[in-house]
Amino acid sequence: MRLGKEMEIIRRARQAGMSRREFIRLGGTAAAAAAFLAACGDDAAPTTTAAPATTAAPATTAAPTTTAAPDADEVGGEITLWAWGAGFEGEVIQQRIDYFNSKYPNVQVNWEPLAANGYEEYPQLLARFAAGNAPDVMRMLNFQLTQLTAEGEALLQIDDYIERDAEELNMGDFIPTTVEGTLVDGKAYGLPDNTEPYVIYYNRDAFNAAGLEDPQVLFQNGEWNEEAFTNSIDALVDNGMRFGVSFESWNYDTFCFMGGGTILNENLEPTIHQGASPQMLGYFAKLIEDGKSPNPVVAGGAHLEAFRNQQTGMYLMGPWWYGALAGTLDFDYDVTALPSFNGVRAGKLELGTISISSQSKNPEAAWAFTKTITDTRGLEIWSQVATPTRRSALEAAGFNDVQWKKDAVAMVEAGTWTPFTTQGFAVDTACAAALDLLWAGEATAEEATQDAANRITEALA
Amino acid sequence: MTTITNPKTVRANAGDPLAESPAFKKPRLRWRRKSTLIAYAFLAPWIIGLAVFYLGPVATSAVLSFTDYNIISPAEFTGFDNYEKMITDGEFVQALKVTLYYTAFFLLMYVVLSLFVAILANRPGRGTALFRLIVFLPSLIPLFAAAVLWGWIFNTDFGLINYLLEEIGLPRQGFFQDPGQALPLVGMLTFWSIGSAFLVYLSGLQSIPVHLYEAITVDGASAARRFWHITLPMLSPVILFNLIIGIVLSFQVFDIAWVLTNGGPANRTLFWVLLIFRRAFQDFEMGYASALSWVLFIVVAGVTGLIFRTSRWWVHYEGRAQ
Repeated sequence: MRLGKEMEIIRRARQAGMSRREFIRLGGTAAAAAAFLAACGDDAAPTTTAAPATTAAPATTAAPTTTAAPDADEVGGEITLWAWGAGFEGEVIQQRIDYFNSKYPNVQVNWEPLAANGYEEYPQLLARFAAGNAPDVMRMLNFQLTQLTAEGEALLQIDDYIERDAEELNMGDFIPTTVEGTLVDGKAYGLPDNTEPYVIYYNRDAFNAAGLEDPQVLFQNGEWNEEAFTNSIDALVDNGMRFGVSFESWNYDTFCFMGGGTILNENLEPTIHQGASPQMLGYFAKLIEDGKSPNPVVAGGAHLEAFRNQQTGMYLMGPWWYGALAGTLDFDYDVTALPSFNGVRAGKLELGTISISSQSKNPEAAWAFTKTITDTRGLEIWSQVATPTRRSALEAAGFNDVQWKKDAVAMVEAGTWTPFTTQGFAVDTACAAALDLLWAGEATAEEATQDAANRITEALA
Repeated sequence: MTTITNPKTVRANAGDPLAESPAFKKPRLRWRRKSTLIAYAFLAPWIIGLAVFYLGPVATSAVLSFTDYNIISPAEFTGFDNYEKMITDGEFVQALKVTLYYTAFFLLMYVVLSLFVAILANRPGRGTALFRLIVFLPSLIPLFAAAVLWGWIFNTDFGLINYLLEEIGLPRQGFFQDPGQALPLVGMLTFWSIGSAFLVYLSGLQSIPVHLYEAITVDGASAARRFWHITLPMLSPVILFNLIIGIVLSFQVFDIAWVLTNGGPANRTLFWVLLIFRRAFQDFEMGYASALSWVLFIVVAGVTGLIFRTSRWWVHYEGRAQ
């Protein structure tokens, strides 16, 4: 079930600290994936051909000045790139820049690596916009794209460019959900760059010891559902594992989505207290009450240690830790999709986009850069540290040759995202404040979700 | 006729007709003006820094507090809307309660507990130096780092304290993850910060003249009476100092909550400054965050002013009439 488009809410965690850590994981630890993601694939980038002429009138002042994409040699000048990435991730970004320059040799890309990450330095980016000194191209999280667009039209609307270069771009190659993440009011403000779905890490040795079937096999057979998940938790605990599964409270929206629940409707009215959301949140709260899950009110990534130390048999999180765990554990582990609940397989996606500033003085070069690093080859390079958003790039990078990546891609297809609006954090903190009482056993799911709904209403008033 | 050649070497006495002569006054004034300019030149970097990086933002925030401003869009004047909004902002009311509770707890630790620890540390005997070191040492460790450590020690499921409690047959506690325990625990952990207050008290205690104690002891005063009639009055300026500093510190608490709880669970540790941070850098409501900051300033200034006004009745300055 698709839940995303109508959801005008944020996807961020309960706490800023958590979010920060979460973001750091998304950015910094994405390098972890490098150890296991195949980076080969030598598909040639799509042939650059003249795009059809734009028939619609340009919607923005920075609309393309030509009706056909200029030849690569005609595009020149300098652009600045705002992107975070240290260590191997930084090397991969440089590889993408080199790839771009192999096609557009006359454009000089000035990459300004961020001292921290895009989350930490987001206020500085806003300050640069305020000062009229914004970078040309930015690596963004989807909440930033939404917020920058909603609050100040800071990003360049690129529909005209997309239309002009439609043939070259092949937008149909992008996973549709990831394209939705670049739209605000139906208009495009960036191209999808990477997406990370939430998945289940599991201790294969513990599963074997408990006589449980491998979750990957269950998933392939269409049997990885609530019953199998619950049975696994019980069996793991019965077999001596301290906790069956661990999760973190800031993923409350993931829990709701998993069973087909929602947080808000398209009119921005709270729905967290209706439908499947109370049931799903109640399910997870029961696991804590029964001592089968640790308290989830912790910082992002905190329960990774519990998984690492074999205190918990499963861990619900994004796939970015996979590589970081490789070689550090003395047990066999793997990753698979989230279990289905109520016959629904769904989850949350983290989305990254490449956007252009509306202040760019060289939008043609900025656009050339944006479309090039998100073409099949550009994303194939990116797949060394991230999950690419083009199906062709997934194929080229061999994602479907590795079972866990295949399962993760299935979650991308089944997942949704929750765009960050101006009130996004307010909704998030409202939900967190209410649901903390649920996790602490001081409120029922019905009471907590009703409280959350009231707080959301107050926050959005 | 005397010729004034160097005003630096000639000092005219008051009433000296020489001092009134134009020949003397002019070079002296010129020199004074020159000295003043030189002084200002040396002070200029600091003054410019203060104006640009401190007074400027302070003044700007005062203006912004009357606007709706999200950084990337121009500010819009909204009058007193931001101030009115506080009244209906449930999170602000919660933050106010939490901060007042914490302030009471903090002052108990910072002003009262540290005084008694200082009195203990002021007693001569073996191990006194070590005791002083142990009390002061934690304040050298950044609270931020200490908070990370506490977070793990008091973790509900994997923490050392709960492990020990279980070992002796006591039930596990929620600690920072329990809505009822989080704030008292954060308050209790402020003992970590008493080192500086302790040090000030200790120096104050050591400056009390011994003959005062000798005199009252000869009169047969008990230890309690010595404390009440000598120690407390003589220390009252130091107590005032620690009280003011304690109030300022407690109203500005941020780091410990940011690391340990980030305002949770259920906003039970949502401090005022944390709320300002949320509004400013998560919701990007810079105007509202500025208004919250100014109200915080007014409250702290008001409380501090009140304490100063009442200090004339309870603070004893040696050598000055009450």
